[in-house]
Amino acid sequence: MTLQFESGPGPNGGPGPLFEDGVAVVVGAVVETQSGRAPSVACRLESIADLDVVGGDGDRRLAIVWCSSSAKGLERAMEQLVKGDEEILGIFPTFMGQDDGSGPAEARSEAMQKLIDEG
Amino acid sequence: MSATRRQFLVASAATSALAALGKPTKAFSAADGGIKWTKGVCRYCGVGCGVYKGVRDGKLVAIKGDKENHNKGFVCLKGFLLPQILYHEDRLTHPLIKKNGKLVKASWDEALDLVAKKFTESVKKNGKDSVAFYGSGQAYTEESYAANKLFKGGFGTNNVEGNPRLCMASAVGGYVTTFGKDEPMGTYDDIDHADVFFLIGSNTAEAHPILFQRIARRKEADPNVKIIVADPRMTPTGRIADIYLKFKPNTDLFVLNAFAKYFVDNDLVDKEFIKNHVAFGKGKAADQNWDAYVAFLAPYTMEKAAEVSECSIEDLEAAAKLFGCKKNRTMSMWTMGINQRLRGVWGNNLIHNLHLITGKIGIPGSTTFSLTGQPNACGGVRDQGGLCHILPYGRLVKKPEHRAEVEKVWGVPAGTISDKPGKHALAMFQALETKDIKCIYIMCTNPGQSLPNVNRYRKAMADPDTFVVVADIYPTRTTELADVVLPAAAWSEKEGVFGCTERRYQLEHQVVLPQGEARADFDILVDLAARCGYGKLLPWKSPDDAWEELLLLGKDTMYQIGGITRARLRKDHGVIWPCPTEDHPGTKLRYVKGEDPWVPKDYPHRIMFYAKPDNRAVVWFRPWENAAEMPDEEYPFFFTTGRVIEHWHTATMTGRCKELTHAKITSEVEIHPDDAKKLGVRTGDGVRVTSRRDSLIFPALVTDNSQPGLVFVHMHDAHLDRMCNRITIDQFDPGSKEPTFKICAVKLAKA
Repeated sequence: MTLQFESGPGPNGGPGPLFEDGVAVVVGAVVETQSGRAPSVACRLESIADLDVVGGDGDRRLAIVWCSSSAKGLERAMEQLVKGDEEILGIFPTFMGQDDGSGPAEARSEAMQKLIDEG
Repeated sequence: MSATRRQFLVASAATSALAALGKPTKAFSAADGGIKWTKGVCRYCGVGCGVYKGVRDGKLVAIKGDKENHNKGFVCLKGFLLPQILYHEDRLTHPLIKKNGKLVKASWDEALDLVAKKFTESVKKNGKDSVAFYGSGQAYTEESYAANKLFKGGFGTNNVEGNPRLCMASAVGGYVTTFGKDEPMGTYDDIDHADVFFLIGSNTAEAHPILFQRIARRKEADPNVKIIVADPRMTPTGRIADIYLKFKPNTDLFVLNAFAKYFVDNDLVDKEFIKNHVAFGKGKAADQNWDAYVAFLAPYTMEKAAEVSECSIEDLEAAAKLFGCKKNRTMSMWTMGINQRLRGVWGNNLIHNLHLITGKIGIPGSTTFSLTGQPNACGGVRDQGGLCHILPYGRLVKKPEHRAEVEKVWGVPAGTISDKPGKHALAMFQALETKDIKCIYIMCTNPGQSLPNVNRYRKAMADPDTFVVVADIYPTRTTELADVVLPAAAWSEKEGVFGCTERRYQLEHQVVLPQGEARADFDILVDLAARCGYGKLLPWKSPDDAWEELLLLGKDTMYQIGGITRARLRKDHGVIWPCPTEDHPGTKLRYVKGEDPWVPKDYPHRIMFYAKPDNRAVVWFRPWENAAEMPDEEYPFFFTTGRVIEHWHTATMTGRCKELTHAKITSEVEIHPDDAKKLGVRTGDGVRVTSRRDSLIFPALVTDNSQPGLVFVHMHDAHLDRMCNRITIDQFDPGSKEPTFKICAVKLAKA
């Protein structure tokens, strides 16, 4: 499965931030491997920054969570992983979330905080 | 980046990925020691996921997915966190009566006697239509039925409405006008057979995450499966699309007609299906023909669609080709993006048109499937007849024979049910404003936050000359306006039936006692009826008795719910109607021979649209029109609202769940970077959003999820200074009377 993300070329022609202010994506996915290869693939995946293997069936499937500050970057990384690791047959998202930087008060800018404080 | 939202998303992602492997997550797989598990249904959206509810020491402590139900054990994180909604410190635990402008503690007798006195006196003095009921797609079916019967059969008014008018009325209008009866013909099982998904006006990933997972699993099972997402915003749903159509707001009806024209021009229509099963109509009459339809479609070229929608012609044509390709089984799904519009019914009609002219209907994987937002909007309000113009199971207030059938079951004299439809939701609150309605009973919903142009209706509810009763589980933006507040038992503290999007009825069991003095809405209404002199009308000792009556009302209708007995519901993991007998398996493919008991076994075709007199579904000619309020020089931006994954509706429940509020609760205004640059705004800055109704300041969220000229605010924030419905417009679809939440015009300024 190819993830379709909007284009957002970075300054060097590489994958740049999709969102102007660093909105990130969090993806839950199942990694399909060749039969019996899930444990060895899991070992390799664990070395990837911001990727966590959260479970597996011990045979051909792994559950992963992958975070990235760039949706486009994540898409490319997934594509590269599938192309570059012959034991990986596909990566299939089960969850998509966008961390837009909202939430607690500390995430607000000083300007907004000032407005809130002033009522 | 917000650590708390990140944590929530990571937990959700892990839960979904592990569930896809059939593994429970450690965080939520409560040790079974001392826990008693009881089958139930999730309290939130219309997907109706089966759950098991874990109780220890008289307290609901855990939730797990029901593997034998349609969701196959999957539950979203909101669902896993359900136990928290019962136990927040500000639960309403005793009745309140407004005295000297303040709500003060009262006894049940005091509160219900006051309500009974006010309502009966108003009927006597001001007439039957001076009272009203406003309910919810979250109440159990028996509860909504009790209110429906009390008001239509007791007080004698059809002023009975519910919040499904705000979300699903256009879908109802679409199904009824096209097929003759409400509710979809397919089920979730169609997802497992579809080759192409067409998701339009639906952020499925956030609003219906378990269905999104099922779509993703289908794609996993067959990489040839394609997903088309059409939405003015790039949402998480759009991120798994093979083709993403980011159309300009309000141009979707043009695009849908252009798809139809593409099918016609490229020989993708099913002429045999059209010949046998389709009629053509314009306005309200099905008196047109194929040639007239082709002529109607003439202006809707792909070139023009690309120009109007600002999508590329290549993407539009590729999407139409995928949808229409004869070998593909195509499933369309949509929700509020289509429904909450000035022409919501037309949007629904146009989606149905695409399936009818291609014959992609009534085959597993080929169906037209509206998604629902609430757990019981379908079963409890639409099917049960809890709106101002309908009676139970497809009957209409206007039809004398339908009124007579209901009056017979209710044991009331002929003529008891008024032949005049009552006031629809917005008209009801406008009548409160004009004092034509003087007393209103609001149950399990929060119109003080959820109505469009809400300032206007908050003022009407707060007027000392109107009498407002609210039954709910927590203080809300509506209880603060009430004259009497009745503490209701929550989900799991009472028993009743939920009917979800796919016509599946399921029993929700009581597993814990209500908090404090809270009582089930059903008990409250039965008690109130007795105090109003209608004890014989609502003589039931429990919801079981009311269900028996509902089975009687539904038995010989096209709904055929006779086989969905209480005993079966206690045992089964949901039953899908039509289901005429207790040994019938339920109907997954409605209108289809060999599946639907209404279709004769010797019918010469595979499908029979039997709810239409000539057995033909109607392809309607529905043109593209402007929205009720379009951007102009003074108000140059489209303003739209929607959901985020953490919260549900007005957040009266999710807003009391600590993980969810830590993750996100504040409404920001999403602005495209191009617009943000012009305004000199960065993420986090305050932006003043002004419509013709009101002006509010939101924190900015600069993102190209949006598009130039469009801003988005999520609908869940209950803070008075950020309630998005102070901005929205209270225009509505002239057919469905559903408000046009999705589009109005605003101007922006850096605050």
